[in-house]
Amino acid sequence: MQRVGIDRVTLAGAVIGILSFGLHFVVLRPNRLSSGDGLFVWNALPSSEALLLGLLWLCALGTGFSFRENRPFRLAPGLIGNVILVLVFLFTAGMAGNTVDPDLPFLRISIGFGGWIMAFASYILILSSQQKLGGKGLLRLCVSLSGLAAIALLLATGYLSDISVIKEFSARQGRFLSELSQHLILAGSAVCIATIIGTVLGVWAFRSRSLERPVFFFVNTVQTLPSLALFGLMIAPLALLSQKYPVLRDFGIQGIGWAPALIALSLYALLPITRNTYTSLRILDPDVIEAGRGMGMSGLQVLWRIEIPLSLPIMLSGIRTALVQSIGNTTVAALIGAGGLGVFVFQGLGQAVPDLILLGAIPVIILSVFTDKLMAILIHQITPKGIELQEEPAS
Amino acid sequence: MLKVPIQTFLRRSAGTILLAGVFAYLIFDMNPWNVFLRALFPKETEWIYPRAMLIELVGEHLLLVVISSALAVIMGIAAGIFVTRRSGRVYLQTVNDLSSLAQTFPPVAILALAVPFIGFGFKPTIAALFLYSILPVVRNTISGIEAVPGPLIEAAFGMGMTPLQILFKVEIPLTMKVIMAGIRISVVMNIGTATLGAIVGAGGLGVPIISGLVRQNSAFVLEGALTVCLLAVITDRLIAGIEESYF
Amino acid sequence: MIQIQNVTKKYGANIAVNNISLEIPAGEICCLIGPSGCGKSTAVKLINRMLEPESGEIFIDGKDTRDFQPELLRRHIGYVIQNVGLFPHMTVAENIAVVPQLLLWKQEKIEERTEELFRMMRMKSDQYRDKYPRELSGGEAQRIGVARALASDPKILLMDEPFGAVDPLNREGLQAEFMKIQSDLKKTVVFVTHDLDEAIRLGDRIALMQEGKIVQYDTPEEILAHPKNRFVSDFVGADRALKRLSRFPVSEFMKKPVVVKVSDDVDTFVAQIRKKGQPRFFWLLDEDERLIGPVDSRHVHTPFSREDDVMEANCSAITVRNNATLREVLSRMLGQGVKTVPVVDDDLRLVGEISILEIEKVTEEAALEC
Repeated sequence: MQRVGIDRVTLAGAVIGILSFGLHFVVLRPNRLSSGDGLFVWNALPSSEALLLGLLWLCALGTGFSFRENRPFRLAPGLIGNVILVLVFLFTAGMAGNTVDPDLPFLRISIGFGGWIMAFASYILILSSQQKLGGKGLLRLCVSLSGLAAIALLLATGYLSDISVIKEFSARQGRFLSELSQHLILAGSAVCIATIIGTVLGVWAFRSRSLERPVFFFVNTVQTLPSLALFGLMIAPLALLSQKYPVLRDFGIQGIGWAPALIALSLYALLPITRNTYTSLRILDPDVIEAGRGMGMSGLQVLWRIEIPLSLPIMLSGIRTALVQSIGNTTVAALIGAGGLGVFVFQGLGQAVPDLILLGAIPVIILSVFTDKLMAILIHQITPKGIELQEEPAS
Repeated sequence: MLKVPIQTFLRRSAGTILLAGVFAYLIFDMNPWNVFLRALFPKETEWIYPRAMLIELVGEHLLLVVISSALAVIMGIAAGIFVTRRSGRVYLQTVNDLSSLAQTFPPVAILALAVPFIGFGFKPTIAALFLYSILPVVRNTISGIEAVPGPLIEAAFGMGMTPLQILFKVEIPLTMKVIMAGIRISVVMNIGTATLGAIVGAGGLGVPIISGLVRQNSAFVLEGALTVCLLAVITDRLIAGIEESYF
Repeated sequence: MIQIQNVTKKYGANIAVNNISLEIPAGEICCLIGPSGCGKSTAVKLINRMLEPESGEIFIDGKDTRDFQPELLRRHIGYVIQNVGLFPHMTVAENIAVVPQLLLWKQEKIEERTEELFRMMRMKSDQYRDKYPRELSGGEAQRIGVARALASDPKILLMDEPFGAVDPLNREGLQAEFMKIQSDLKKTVVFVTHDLDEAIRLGDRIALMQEGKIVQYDTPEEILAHPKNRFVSDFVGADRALKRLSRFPVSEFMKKPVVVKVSDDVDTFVAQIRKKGQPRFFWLLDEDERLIGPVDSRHVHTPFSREDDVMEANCSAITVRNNATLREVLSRMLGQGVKTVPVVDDDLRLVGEISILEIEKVTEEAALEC
């Protein structure tokens, strides 16, 4: 972009944001079960708030049309995006205060489809600024996270507690926390087990040509199996086992519950770890190791100063994939009685309570994304400078 | 383009085709199921899911997968091509960022979230399946096209090919293998997520599994689980065979 | 013929090609040479409109290149690049057929042309046509690249460091082959290289570029003998006198040698030479007129003894072929410490001799500045 140009990405975000005004901003439900009515921005919010949103989007549109190559213009879309993001949540919560209706004491307010699209559009604005700022500076971090940080703050201090999903949460806080920890324990343990077994398998496959094909055939095949089916397949053998050896019941191992879930989850997590172990061994350039030996390094030193620093990033990358996958798969495990956040999802689906679904689904998504980003930062930190870790295409 | 002729493909995929044949037989003829499941679970009273024939369930499942995958493949490849053209390049990074973010969302969450917004049943499941399965196709299309070496494009340009000719004669043939890999992942993932469609009323092979879980009937569970696993593995191997025959 | 008139190409503030004008006569090879970043590759891409100039015109055979649709123009100009750019998913034959197919040639015509090109490149068609590029060696791939560029029989060939990625041994071979093909086809060639020796060897004319401008456009002899300024003389190198020698073929300067066959009466011959007093050295040949070695007439025994009197040195070390240049002759002289070098043909038969006097004459004729 030379002088004044058109910033297509910001423009796309602004257009989507403006179009979202045509969808329901919030949904009002008389109680937690019925489907409720949607309201548009101008109907739902007081005129000052509605005008503010409109103005902000027009600003975004303007920035998109007349883009310049200087700092303020690069920050503008991100700033606007963050503000809009926070306002969507704030205004929705604020509605409760404004529309207290004595006839509808169980009124539920939630963000409607239009509100979510507006949030999505604001994220595109944030992405736009992120791209232009580049690098990993403090400014870029601010642009990426300030909106989310503000929302988290509002959440913690209770400002958002009138949004219906939060109400759902407060109603069953204890249960939520226990299912959350169950979810984390299951996913975490599965990845731990898979790391141990998968690393061994990866090393075997690397060392022995004849083992390579069967090992990968096995882990690849397991990956293609639908998670619900694999969970289901684990039930029968475990049920039979626990019938034969009742002592297992005392440990909680039976047909349904955490045991079949853990086994299935560990099997799923095997592929990324095995494959990455194998690859990390592959890429260890024998010349580099020979150079190390030639310089007088002992076997242990070669391991510590060459092999591990080079292969660790790839291993961690495999663990990252395994973790994200496991968090998702654990959600399904709720169906076989293993607990976890999936409990809320399926309860909500069964009872047709949308907020319950949200209560389960949104934390799972947040967990996945958070874990992914965290692992990415970790991997970036421990990757020795001068090595490029490529993102492999899915294969 | 297809570097290897049909005969070699058939020879290499012989095992898979055999398996497919067995599969086709098993979904029509329920007798083997009866024998097998009765032997495994003598204590049950019912072994075959009664409310729908296995062939119907397979049909529903396939319908879900085929429609959503077809849409995802077409739109995914189109989007991938668009953002690697001169006019669409502006959007490349955004699409990359969005798709890698979206890929960390668990498919079950997307399916569950589709319900409050779109409703129950067949259509929302297709929508959710489509949204999720478009991601690997887009990503692989993009990375495949980007991997075509610059000098090749330059040579083609210098020889007098129009940009459209370069796309069809050079870029796409060289990317087919990677795109096929993306399609394979997308379709197999779809088969898995479609299993969960049973929970939102979309039918499919998840139905006997859920029913078995609810009624604590392991035979139902096995009926559904084995069938859908076979379906997934066969599909994966078949598409992998096609993948191999591309350059 | 190609006429480039006042062409400028800018990238933002950077002027890649700065108002250059060049006329390349039909059938000639013009070598564009210069330090990296001088604009030579950019200049070439302006000819086939892969890049558009900010100002100026380019005429091919009198017609402005802008009057043609770019793709159509390029299909009638051969283009070879350093990394060859053979399409890996197509066989050799399919690669060659690309431009003819774009031009909608009939299949039989394409087949015919492909066979012709294989013959021209001296490659067996049934051996190579169904191979894939990755199965070819570097030199083979390069030959196919040139064949592909010639497929539509264009009048103009643009070559951007085509032999750059090939090892030196193969490169010489490719250069020689290319010169032979060019002598048959007489295409108008614009050849970009950074290798001065290559430019001197191949070019009918050389255009030396610096920072987007053409500093000197002359025949190689002129550039070597009369460099226009400091930059040119530095670029050409302090050894340009030596480089010049590679423009002079041995066959033009060699003299008739004094010879005697081993089957003849050598003693009588020696006596005659001693009477005349010269030459000091003569050559001993075998029955087939192949060179055995030099004989020093001052130190010959009577009777003549082949083992003692002939310096039966390794012939290839002391001879040059008759297609060599004066540069190789000088190299032999320096390497062997001799003042006369025998010239042989492909069968190792003596066809001439050349001494340091001939070389001195050549170097005297050019006024050389240090």
